[in-house]
Amino acid sequence: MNNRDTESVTRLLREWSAAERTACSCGPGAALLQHLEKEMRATQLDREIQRVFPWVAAAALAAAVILAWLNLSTLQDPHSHPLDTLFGLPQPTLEESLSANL
Amino acid sequence: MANTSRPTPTDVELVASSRAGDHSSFRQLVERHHDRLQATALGMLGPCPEVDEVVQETFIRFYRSIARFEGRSSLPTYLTRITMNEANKAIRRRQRWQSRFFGRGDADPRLPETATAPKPHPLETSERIERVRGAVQRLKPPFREVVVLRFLNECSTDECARILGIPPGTVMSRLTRALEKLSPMLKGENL
Repeated sequence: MNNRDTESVTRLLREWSAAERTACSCGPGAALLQHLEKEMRATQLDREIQRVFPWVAAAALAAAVILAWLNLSTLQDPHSHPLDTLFGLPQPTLEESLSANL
Repeated sequence: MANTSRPTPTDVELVASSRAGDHSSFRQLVERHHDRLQATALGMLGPCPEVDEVVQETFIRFYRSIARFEGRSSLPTYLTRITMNEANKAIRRRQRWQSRFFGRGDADPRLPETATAPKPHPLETSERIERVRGAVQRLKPPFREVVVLRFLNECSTDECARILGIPPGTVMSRLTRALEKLSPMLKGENL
């Protein structure tokens, strides 16, 4: 390919690119902007959920651990009330529990 | 009297406020870069509805990953790279579709068969541009990319290299080969 060919092709490509750039000089259409606006709102909501999710998950996990612990302590001593265990109240003895029930 | 006009915000400032949730800043970025990206997609795909889809997907992908944009490359370079990736995806989708319905050996039915035939008479400008467009579309994507970036986006060799993630020497060799491939296709055009 000689220099003349290169120059010719280059000139044609410049003409083509000028025409394509002119065709693309109208800016974004309303439909695109509207779609992007919706997308931005959806993405922001996702981000909020992702931000809050670890706290919600941590709270749920903590609740699950407390409930499991309460159940466990109730199993160990079926006469004690779970909340007594939780708040450190004195546990009734077996005799006290039996006399209370009688 | 004090000058109350505010200076135009830079890309970096607009990215920072978009990241903080300011939609109007992102809108400004879209308005600023839309035409260039649309021209890139048009150069890669030719006139078709996929051009708008590629541009839209570029902005959506950018917005979703805006927190990860560190500004190591300029925003136009970053956005053009996304557009190129999306355009290449669209080309692969198109090729899959064509191979399914037309068979592997068949030519793209939308491209003019006359693109390689010499024309004896000078062509009208629009017709000539149409033929150049057809010839560019016949280039394989790696060659088309450099032609689009160099001529349509007026990128330097280094910018092309950064966008495509290839060495500058490869950009130059691909460009030379692209021009060699285009030359017989455009033979006979009156210059």
